[in-house]
Amino acid sequence: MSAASAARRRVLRSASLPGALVVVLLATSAAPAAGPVAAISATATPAEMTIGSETSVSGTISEGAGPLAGAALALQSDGYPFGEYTTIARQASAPDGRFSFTGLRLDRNTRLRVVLESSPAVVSERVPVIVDPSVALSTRTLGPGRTRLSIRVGHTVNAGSTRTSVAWFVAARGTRLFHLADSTPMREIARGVSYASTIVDPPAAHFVYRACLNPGWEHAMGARAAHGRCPVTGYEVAANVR
Amino acid sequence: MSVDRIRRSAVAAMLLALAAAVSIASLPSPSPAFEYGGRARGIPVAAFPSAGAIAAARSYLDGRSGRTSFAVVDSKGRLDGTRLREHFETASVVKVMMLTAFLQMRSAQDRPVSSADNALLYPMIHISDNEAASAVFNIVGSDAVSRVARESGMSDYAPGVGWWAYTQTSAADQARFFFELDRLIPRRFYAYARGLMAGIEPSQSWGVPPVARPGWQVFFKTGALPSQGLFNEVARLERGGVTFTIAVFTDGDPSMAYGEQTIEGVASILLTHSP
Repeated sequence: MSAASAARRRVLRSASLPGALVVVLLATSAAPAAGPVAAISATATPAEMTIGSETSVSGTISEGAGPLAGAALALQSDGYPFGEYTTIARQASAPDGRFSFTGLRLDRNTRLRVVLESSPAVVSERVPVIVDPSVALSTRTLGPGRTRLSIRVGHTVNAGSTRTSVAWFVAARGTRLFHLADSTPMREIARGVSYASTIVDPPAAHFVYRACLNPGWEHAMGARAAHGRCPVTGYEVAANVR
Repeated sequence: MSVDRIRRSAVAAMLLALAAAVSIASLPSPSPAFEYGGRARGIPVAAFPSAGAIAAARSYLDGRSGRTSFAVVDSKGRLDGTRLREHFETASVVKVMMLTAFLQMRSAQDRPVSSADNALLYPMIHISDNEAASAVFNIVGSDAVSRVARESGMSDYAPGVGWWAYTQTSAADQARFFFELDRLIPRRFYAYARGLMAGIEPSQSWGVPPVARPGWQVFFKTGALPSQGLFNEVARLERGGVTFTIAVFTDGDPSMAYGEQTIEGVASILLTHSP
């Protein structure tokens, strides 16, 4: 496909919008001057990851109908709270136009993009990657009426206060009502690692528990849907817990 | 052990759907948050005192003369008893509220309990000295005691008219207050307060302590207005990981010995009828 036809196609896709006639006229007059247009498609795999693991960004760069080989590409990153991209890796595209930036370790929600370092630069669509905290839970029966619950969370640093508390909820299996059993402080025991524990009176021999936290770094990690407030009392779920 | 990230938005949606289909009185639906869950095992213990013991204490109290009530907050935090909301004058049991208000004041000032402070607080609790209590009450003020009442969720509290001993209360309010003492008294002073309430002199240690000790740690305060036959006691009992509170209020007793016997009888039944 020639550059002129590509330009026409871009404009014709806009033809259903108001002012289409004006746009078509512009395309007709501009078409002879336009050169080949490069396009970059990029995706992250996985698009949601746990802190400490790796993701990769791969895709293709093409120019017109064919691949663009040997293009100087830069991977740029903009981590929460967002606002400035910085280049974190460079590579040249393969003969078939493919590229793959692998082994990417991100510590917070990040927007990535791939840039063709040319003049003018060509930029891919923004590639968001959600980074979740790593969580390890453990339990231990200490004796009648005493079960220790603990949580260790690996999280980002320098993205808000690490001082928070954990609300512990328990429910007997087969019931629907979670009771607030305790609220305990969470301590940062190492950089980027926080810990909290409690000893609860088990509601039954087999029970289910939940640990809820609203740390200062929560907006830097996880999906937006996980950024609500923890309940301050018990709550009821629709189905019996198993 | 399974570790599940709870998809609370989905849970909330399911709850809303259920609520639309079935009218249920439910707690607030969960909101999405960083929440993680798992399964666990444990050895549950029954609530102490047992429901049977509380029922037996209720029957016993109904057979006593005068106006009576009692409340228990059991080891699971549940309130039970009889005539829970009936109003009584606190007499000296209000001194624990004064103690709490005083220690909260010192905590807010970031000051320790001085020897001068102790010279008031110790006799106020240890021998139930009324002059010391009046001095403490004048220092903290009526509003501070009212604030303690609010913080502990009291619903039957009313400041005393003319004298702090005439403060209005109920068994339910006092049992809940003692159950919440570890939250209401600043942490830095909690051991001090426990020491006061566990070390009351023998002549003031009637009712619950003789029945419960030595098996239980007892933190308590008695109160009496002998001229009207009013004898009260509130106690927090701890043994191992089990904590519960008792509040017994009597009025119109024929004698102090009778009032003490009533409170002792309730405590004895609660302790001996529970497994």
